[in-house]
Amino acid sequence: MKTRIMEFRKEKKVTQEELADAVNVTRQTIISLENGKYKASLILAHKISQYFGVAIEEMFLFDKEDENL
Amino acid sequence: MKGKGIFCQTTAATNEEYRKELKRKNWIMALIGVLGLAASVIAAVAWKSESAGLPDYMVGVYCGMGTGITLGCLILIGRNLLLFRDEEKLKRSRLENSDERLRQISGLAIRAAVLVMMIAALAAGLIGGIFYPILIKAFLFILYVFLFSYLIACRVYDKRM
Repeated sequence: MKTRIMEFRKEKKVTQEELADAVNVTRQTIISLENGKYKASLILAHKISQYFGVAIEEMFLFDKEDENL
Repeated sequence: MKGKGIFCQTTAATNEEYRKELKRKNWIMALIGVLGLAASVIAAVAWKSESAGLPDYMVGVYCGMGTGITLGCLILIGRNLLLFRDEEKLKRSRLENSDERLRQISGLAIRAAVLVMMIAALAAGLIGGIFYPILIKAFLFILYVFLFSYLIACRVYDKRM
C-alpha cells in the first residue's frame, strides 16, 4: 500500500509534527506511514484523509496485492 | 523507539481524559504498593517470630518482591504527578501510549516474549526436571494456565467482536 501523505502534506505546508498532533499519533507513525513501513488502521486512514479533506482512496493507494488480502 | 509500559496503554483522546485515567491508575498503583509493603512486612515479621517456619530464601523473595513492587509503584505515581504539572509532557505521554503503531509493536513484542518464555520454561522443565521433578510439574502447570486463559480470552473476544 502506498500513501500520498507526504505529497498532500507538502502541498498544504503541514509538518509531520502538526499532522501527528492533529490525528493523535506520534511523529514516528507519520514517518512510518510515509515510508510505507506501516499500514494505517481504517480509523487513522479516515482521520488523515479527513484532515486533508480528501477521500481515503485518494490518500491511500491499494495495490493488487493488498486487494487480494 | 521509546519504550512504553505494557500496562500504560490508553485510548484517551484528550489530555483531560488522560489525566483522569492516570489519576485512577495512581489509586490502583497506591493499592498495589500497599499490598507489596504488606507482603514485605508480613514476611519480615514471620521471619522474626520463627514460628511460621518460612525458609530464609523465601523470606528474602517476599521481602524483595514486596519492596520492589512498592518502590516501582511509588516511582510510577511520582512520574504521573510530574506529568500532571506539564501539559506538553502529558500530551507526549498520551500520544506515545495511545499511538496505534506503538500499540501494535507492543502486542507483537508481547507475543514474541511469551514464545521465548515458554521455550525457556520448557527447556528448564525438561533439563532441570531430571534433577528436580518439581520443575517439569511447575512448567506443565504454567502451560495449562496459559492454554486455559488463551481459550477463555478467545471466547470472550469472539463474543465482543
